[in-house]
Amino acid sequence: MKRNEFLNSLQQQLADLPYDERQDILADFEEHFRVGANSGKSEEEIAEELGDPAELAKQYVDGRTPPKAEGGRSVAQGILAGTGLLLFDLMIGIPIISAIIAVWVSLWAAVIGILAAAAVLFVAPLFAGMYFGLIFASLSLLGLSGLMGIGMVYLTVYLFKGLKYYCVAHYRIIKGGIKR
Amino acid sequence: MNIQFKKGVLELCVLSLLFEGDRYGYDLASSLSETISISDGTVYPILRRLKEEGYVKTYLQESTEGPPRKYYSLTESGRKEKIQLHQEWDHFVCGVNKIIEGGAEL
Repeated sequence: MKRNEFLNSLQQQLADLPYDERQDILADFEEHFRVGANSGKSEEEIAEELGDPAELAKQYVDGRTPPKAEGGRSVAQGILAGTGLLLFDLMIGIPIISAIIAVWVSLWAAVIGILAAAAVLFVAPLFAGMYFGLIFASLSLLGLSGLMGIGMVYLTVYLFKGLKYYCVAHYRIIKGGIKR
Repeated sequence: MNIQFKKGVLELCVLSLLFEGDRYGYDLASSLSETISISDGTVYPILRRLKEEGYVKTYLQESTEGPPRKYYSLTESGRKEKIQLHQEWDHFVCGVNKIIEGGAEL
């Protein structure tokens, strides 16, 4: 590696440091190259002996306190975001969620209703006499409610995931950029 | 080797070299890398840290070859730190040697 290559690489790796500090560090290495050249070494030799610029840069950056994390909102911003969110919820969010939950409840009700009908048809022969038709009807209703039930279990899982995501999103909007 | 440990040891090495007299960066780097196998560049982050902690100060001095060089010199607290670290080091090495040589008796 040549002198300029080394210094450029180091400069890039130190990009997070303040300008003055970075220039100061680079000056140290420029001097090192200068003195090394005076004592008869080639640029490649000096760079080789100095070591990996990325590794060196890490030693400068690691020892420092990291810059304050981005994000996080002030209380005032949080209240503002919260108010906007409340309006959104009242006008759009809550009606849509209520509608979805209503559909969800009624679908579960349908599953239970069909299951109940299957049960009634199953015990009906005891009172109405033996009709194979009743048994077949009962079994097919049982199958139907089973299938719907399986579908509903999936739907329920997704619904709760969605609700959870909705709540997390609220939290994020109010608190600002929360890092995971 | 554990990085923190190595850092501490290298700090002691730099402080000890400067304890004997002022030196410039290249000189320190080659003295260190000749004796213990580290890359020359390692000395500069250490010097910067020592300066931030107030153990070392720098000044520019004319050289016969080219532009002035940055010299490093120990401050009063740097001298105290060197003595303190040196004692800790002796104590530590002494303990480690005891364990290495006669671990069974401990």
